[in-house]
Amino acid sequence: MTIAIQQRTAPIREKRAGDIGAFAGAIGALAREAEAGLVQRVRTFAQDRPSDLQRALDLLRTVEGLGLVVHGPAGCAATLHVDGPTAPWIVSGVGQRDSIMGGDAKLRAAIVELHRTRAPHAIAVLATPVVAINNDDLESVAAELREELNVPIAVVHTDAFRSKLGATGHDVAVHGIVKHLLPHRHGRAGDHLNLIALREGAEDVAHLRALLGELGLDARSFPRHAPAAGLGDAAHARLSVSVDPDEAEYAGEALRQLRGVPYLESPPPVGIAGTARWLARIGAATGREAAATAIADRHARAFADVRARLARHAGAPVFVSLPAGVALGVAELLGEVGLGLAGLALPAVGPRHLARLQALAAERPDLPVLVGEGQAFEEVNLLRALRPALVVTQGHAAVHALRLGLPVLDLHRVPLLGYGGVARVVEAIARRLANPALARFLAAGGEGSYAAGWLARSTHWFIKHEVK
Amino acid sequence: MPIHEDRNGCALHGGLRLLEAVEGVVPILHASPGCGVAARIAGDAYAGGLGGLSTGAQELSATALQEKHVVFGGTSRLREQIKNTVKVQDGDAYVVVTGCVPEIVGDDVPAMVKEAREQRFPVLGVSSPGFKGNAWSGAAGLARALLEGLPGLAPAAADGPAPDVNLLGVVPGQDPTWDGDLLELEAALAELGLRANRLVGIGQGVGAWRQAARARVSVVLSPWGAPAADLLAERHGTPVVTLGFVPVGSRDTGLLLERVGAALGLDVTEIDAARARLDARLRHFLRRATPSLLLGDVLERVAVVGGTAGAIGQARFLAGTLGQQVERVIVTDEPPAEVRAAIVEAVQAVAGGAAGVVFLSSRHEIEAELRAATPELVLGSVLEEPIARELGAALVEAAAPLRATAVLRRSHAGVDGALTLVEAVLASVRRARGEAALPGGSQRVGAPPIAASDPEPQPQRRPCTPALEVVPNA
Repeated sequence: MTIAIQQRTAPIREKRAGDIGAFAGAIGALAREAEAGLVQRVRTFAQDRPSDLQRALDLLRTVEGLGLVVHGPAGCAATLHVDGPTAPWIVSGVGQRDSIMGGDAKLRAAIVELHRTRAPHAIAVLATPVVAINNDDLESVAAELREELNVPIAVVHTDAFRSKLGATGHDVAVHGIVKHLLPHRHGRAGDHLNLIALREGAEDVAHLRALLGELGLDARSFPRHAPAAGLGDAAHARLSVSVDPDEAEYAGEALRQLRGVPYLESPPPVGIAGTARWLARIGAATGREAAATAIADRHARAFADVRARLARHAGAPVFVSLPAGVALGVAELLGEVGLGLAGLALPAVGPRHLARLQALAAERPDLPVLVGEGQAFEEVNLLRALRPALVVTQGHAAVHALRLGLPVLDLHRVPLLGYGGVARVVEAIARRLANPALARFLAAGGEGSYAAGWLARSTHWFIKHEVK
Repeated sequence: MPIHEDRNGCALHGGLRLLEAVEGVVPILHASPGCGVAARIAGDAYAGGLGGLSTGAQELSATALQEKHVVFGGTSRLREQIKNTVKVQDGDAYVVVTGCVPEIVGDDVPAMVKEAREQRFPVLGVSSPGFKGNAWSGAAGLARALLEGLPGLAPAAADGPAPDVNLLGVVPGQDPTWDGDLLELEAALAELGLRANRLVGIGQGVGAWRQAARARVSVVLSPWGAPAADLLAERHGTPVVTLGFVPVGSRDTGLLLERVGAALGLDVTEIDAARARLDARLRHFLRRATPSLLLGDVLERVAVVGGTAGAIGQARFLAGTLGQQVERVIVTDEPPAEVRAAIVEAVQAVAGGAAGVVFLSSRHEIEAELRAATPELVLGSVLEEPIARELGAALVEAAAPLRATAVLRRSHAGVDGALTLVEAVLASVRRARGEAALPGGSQRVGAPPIAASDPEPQPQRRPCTPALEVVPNA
C-alpha cells in the first residue's frame, strides 16, 4: 500500500484493505471466500450505522489542544455531545441557503471564531455530506487562514457516503493530520515508540503504555489521546507499533513511508497468549526479547488459576460483537478462561483476517458469523437461534440482546487490552453471568417490534451481491 | 453564524426524536449513513445517558445512501427500503423522514410514499433536512405533518373516547424531562376531570394523533407547539390556549387550569378548588424545606439557561414561589422572532422588569452573558458547568445536554416536578458548598472569594415581585 498524501483524502477501506461490510453465514464459508477474494455485498434492508464523519469526530475529539470545526448543518456535530474527552468545537451551521450558494464564508467565520475564542494549538476542519456534495472549497479557506491566523489547520474530507465502512473515517482523519499537522523529521530518531491507537479507550492505552514501560520503552499514543502540541513527536519515534492493525495500518504506513518511522504490526494484545505475542514482537524489534519473555511469563503466572474464577460457567457459549481483530482475540481469550464461542458479529472483515478465520474455521467450520455494523435486526435474528449465555460488545450496541433476555458485557468502560484487560474482563464476565436479572426482567416485556416473518427467515435474507 | 458547541441539533434530529416517542410509529430514515446515529447519541446525552459511539442501539431503518445514490439518485433505494421495512418491523404507521442528501439530490420521495400507499401500506413522508432548522423546529414541523397525515391512514372514530386537551410544544429529547413533564400536566388536568392527550411518551401511539382533531382545546406549551395547534384550529376549529411554557409549581399549574377551564367554560369554583389543592400539596412538602431555605440553601441570585418551555417555567417558579432573584434567563432554542417579546413578558411579569431575558445558543456567548450576570445558582445544561465553576456558582442540570443527571421519569412540571426541582437545587447547593470547603475550593459558593477583613457582605437585592408561597400558611 502506498500512501498518496498529495491526494485530497485517504482511499476507502473497501479499496485500500479489501474489507467488506456485509456477510452472514458460517465461518468456514467466509474463510473459503476470503481465500478466493471477498465479495462486496449490499443490504436491501438496512439500519443506520456510524459514518466516517462520526468515526473521525470520535478520534479527533481525544486530541488535546485540537479545535474542531464541523462544516455543515448543526446536527452533523451532534455526536460530540457523547461522554468522554471533548475538544473545543464549533459548527458552521450550514443552512438551506448555504446548501445552494455554498458555505465558504460560514466556514471561514467558524474557523476565525474558534481561533479567537479558544485559541487551540491546531484546528481540524471536518467536511459533511452537504458541503461534500456542494464541493465547498475547504482547502482554500484553510490555506488562507493558516497564514492569516498562524495556526496549523488540517482539512478532514469526511462525507458519510463514499464508504460503506465507518472506520474509513479513521484513515481520513489520519490523512488530514499527517498532511497538515505532522512536521517532517529533523535529525535523528528519539527513543520513544508510537503506540498507534485509533479507537481504544484511555484506560486501555494506559495499560499498554505501562506494559511497554515494564520493557523499558517510552510509548506515546498516536493520534488518539495525543496532545496536539506533541503530534510532531510521532515523526521522531524510533518505531511505531499497532494496537489494532485493522485501524492502525494507515497511520503506521504513513509514518513509515512519509516520515521514515519503522512500523511494526501485530494482532491486538487481547488475552494472555495474545498479549504475550504482541509483547514478544515488540521485544524482538527493540532488542529486548528476553525481557519481553520474562515479563510475559511473570504476568501469565498471575493468571494461573483464571479458569477457576469462571469454573461455574465452564463452556458457557459467548457471542462476540466487536471489531474483527479484537473479536478474534476475544475468541482466544474465551478459550483461555474456559468459556465457549457462540458466534461472531464483526463490523467489517478483510483479507488480513484470513489466517485467523481459517484457524477458527478449522476447529468450528459452522460457527455463525455476521459482518455488518449497526445491523441489530440481523443480530436479533441470529441471537434468537443461538441463545448464548452472554453477549460481549462495546458502546451500548446491545439493548436488543438484553431484550432477548441475554446478559450483555459492554466493554465501553471495561478495558480489554493487555494483562490488565484480562483481569478486568474475566471479573466482568463473572459478574454478568452470576446475575442476569436485568436481562431477564427486560425480556419479560417482549422482544421488540421485529416482524415474526423476519425472525423466521435466514439471517442473510437481505444481503445481496452488489450489482455494479 | 457559527455556533460554539451547539445544543440545538438539526431539524432531522428533532423529527426523529419525535417519531421515536410515538408508540407504533416506525421511522424510515432516507439520508446518508450516520444521521440517525448522531440523533441517537445526542438524544442520549440530552437525557443524561452516557453511552459511547453507538454502533447498533438505534435500530433505525435507514437507506444509508452511498455515493452512487448521490450521483444517480436514491429513489429506488428508498423504494427497496420501504418495501423491506414493512417486512422486518411491525408498526401502525411508517414515516419516511428525509435528511439533507436526498433533498439536495432531489429524490422523489412523495412518489415512493404514494406507491407504498397504493400497496395499502400505512406510509407517510416528511421532508426534514437538517439544514432547514434546528431540532426544535424539526419536531414542530413533524408534529404538524403527523397531524396532517396520520388521520388519512385510518379514521379517528375507531380510536375510542375523544380527549379534552391536546398538549403541544414539549419536544421529546430537546426538553430533557419531556416525558415526565407531560405526565405531570396530565395529572394536573385530571384535577378538573379533563382527559389530556399527551401525543408522545408512554402509552401514546398513532391513535393519540388521530384523536387530536377531536380534542376540545389545544394547549401550546412552547412556540414549537404552535404549528400543530394552528393546523388543528384551521382544519378542525380546535380552540388554542397559548401558555408558552411548561408550568412549574402550583401557581402556574393553576394558571394552566384556569386558562383551560375558561376556554372550556368550566365552573370557576371547581377551578379554584383545584388550584387550592395544588397550592396545598406544594405547601405541604415545601414546608420541609423551609429550614434549608432560611439557612440559605437556596441561593438567591439565579440564572436560568434552557429552551423556552423549560426556562420560562423554571424562572417563574424560582422568582414567584421561592422568592429568588432571577438575574438572567438565557433562552437557547432560537424561538421565532415574533414570540420573543411574549417570552420576555412572561418572565418579567413574575421576576420583575430587571430580570434580563436574552436569546443565545452559542456556548461562548452564553458564558459571556453569565459572566456578566454573576449568578450564585445556574439552572442550565452541562455546557454551563465550566462557567458555573469559574463563577463559584452551584449548577442544577435542568436543560439538555445533561451529564451528571440521568432522566428516566424525572419531571420539573406541575407541583411534584417543582418539588423535584427544589430537591435538585438543594442538593446542588450543598454539593457545591461541600466542594468549596475542600482544600483548593473557593471560599464560598455563590460569591467571589471574600477577604477575611471584609465586612459581612449584604445581599444584592433588587425589587421584584414578592414570593407567593415561601411562607407556609397555617
